[in-house]
Amino acid sequence: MRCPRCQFENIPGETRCFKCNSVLEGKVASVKDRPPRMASWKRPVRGFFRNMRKVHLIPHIEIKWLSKINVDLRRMILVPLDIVPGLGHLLGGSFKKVWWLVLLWVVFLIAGILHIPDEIGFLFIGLAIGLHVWIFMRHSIIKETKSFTTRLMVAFLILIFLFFSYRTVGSMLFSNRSTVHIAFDIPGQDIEKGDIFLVNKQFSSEALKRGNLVSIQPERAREDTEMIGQIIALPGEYILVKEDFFVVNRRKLDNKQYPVPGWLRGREVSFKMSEDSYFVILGYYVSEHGRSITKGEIQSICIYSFDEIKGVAYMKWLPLHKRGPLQE
Amino acid sequence: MDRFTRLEFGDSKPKKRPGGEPVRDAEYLYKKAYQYWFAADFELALRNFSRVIEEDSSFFNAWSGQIVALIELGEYPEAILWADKALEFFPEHSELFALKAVSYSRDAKYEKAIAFSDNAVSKENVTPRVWLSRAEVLLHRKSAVAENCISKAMKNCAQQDPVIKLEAARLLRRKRKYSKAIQFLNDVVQKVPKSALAWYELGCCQSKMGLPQAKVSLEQCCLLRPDWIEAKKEFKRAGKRGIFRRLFGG
Repeated sequence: MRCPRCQFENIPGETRCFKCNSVLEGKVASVKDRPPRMASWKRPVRGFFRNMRKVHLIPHIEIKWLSKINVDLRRMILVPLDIVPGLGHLLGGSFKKVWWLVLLWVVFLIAGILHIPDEIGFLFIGLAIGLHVWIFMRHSIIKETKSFTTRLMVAFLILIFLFFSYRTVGSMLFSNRSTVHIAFDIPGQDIEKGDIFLVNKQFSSEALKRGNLVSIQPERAREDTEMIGQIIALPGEYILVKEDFFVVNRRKLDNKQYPVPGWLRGREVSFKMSEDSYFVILGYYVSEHGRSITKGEIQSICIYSFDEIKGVAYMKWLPLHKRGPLQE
Repeated sequence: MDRFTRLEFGDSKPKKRPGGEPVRDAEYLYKKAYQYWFAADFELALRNFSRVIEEDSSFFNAWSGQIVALIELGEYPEAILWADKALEFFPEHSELFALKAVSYSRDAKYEKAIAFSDNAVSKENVTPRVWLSRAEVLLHRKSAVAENCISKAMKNCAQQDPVIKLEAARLLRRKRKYSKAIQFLNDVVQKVPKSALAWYELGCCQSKMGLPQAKVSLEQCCLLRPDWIEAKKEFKRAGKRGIFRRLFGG
């Protein structure tokens, strides 16, 4: 029997050509003749990924000393460089494998930073850490590990390492900044109970003016608890709380800009501020049930020295739609 | 056996049963499949290639035709899978490797495409399609060698095969070598005047060069295949060439 491809004359009865191994005519009993087909929903998905593959965002970077060393050692060196996501891959010439992961990581990180301290912010940061682990796991030296348990262990160790790294980097970068919530409304400034502010912890006494929102650690509260309060009276001033407004140095303050919190309303008390003390109102601090509050208690709640003020709020942070600098 | 020796483009009459109806054997179905391919109806071409294999599973050209049709339909992973399947029956066939290279290249997996193309070229009995696939893979790199590959394909091509010429012309069109593509396409439309695909390609090339014949070619294409939306769009576009398009192309 002659092979249709190479024309070799084979022994009759053979199913494949002795020379080229082709199937001999008429000897294939049953062949699945219909090719597999693509589901219609896959077309746009594949098109998207194809277009992504066509994009070359970053050119190949070659480092001479790195290319000279042993291949296995080079692969080992490149892994820890991915502490900056994608750097190891970039220097190893395999950035194409992870560029989309790096892009997603950036998106999640930005979304996380923008939403912190909300739960959704922490969720995004968690996802960014997850992606970072994935970027590490895309290194060929890790991928080649055949044992699933080993890979799982490596991923877990990287995850723990990254978790603490993110915490350390976060606290280093934002050591002078924190986010604190407010527990009362200021209608004149569109501020509502629960809004979160960005606080600068480095400030001077000149920066403190009437109406400023400052971060205070209330008495009897936990050590890490801070709340936003509003400065009503400055050092040396005379303040009178009367019905639902404040009078400072005999000047009545607008109660929309300087509202009297509920627990202080209806009381008539006055204080002369010393040279180093500020009258700061806080919300949701004293239980109004049962008994009326004494002047001594008001003094301990509302009068703070400069050292007791932890920071000055300079930006509305959350909710997102209110984000922006605070009015002077 | 050449690839297209079984094709008939002239007026030679098909084998007929005593009753007058043509015998629907593998050759008949294969011809039918290529008729659909020339009409740019790759879905029907694919079905007919499958029917050829149903009749005669050792018909290599039907296997390669199926893969080509899958590539034209944009189903690259399926084309690769099917090429692997074909390789079980026709091991080490250069054309199957070449088709895999084309699939990878169109799926933007260029490294694999180059590897398969290298493999295909290194085999014995390199067919014109292997050179065409080489040209396509190298085209991505804008390599000057791509054009040489096309000329090699044309040299190797037996009896001035219209299929290979049409494929080469399509490649040249992608490379924006319109005048050379038109040269090939003119030959193809003379040989296969009923090919909507050839008229369409010719019309597009002429349109890009700002030739008034583009409208006639595309009209011919629309007459041959009135349900082809893309051709209709191109025909409309050719009719609306304003002064800026004439000056700056597009």
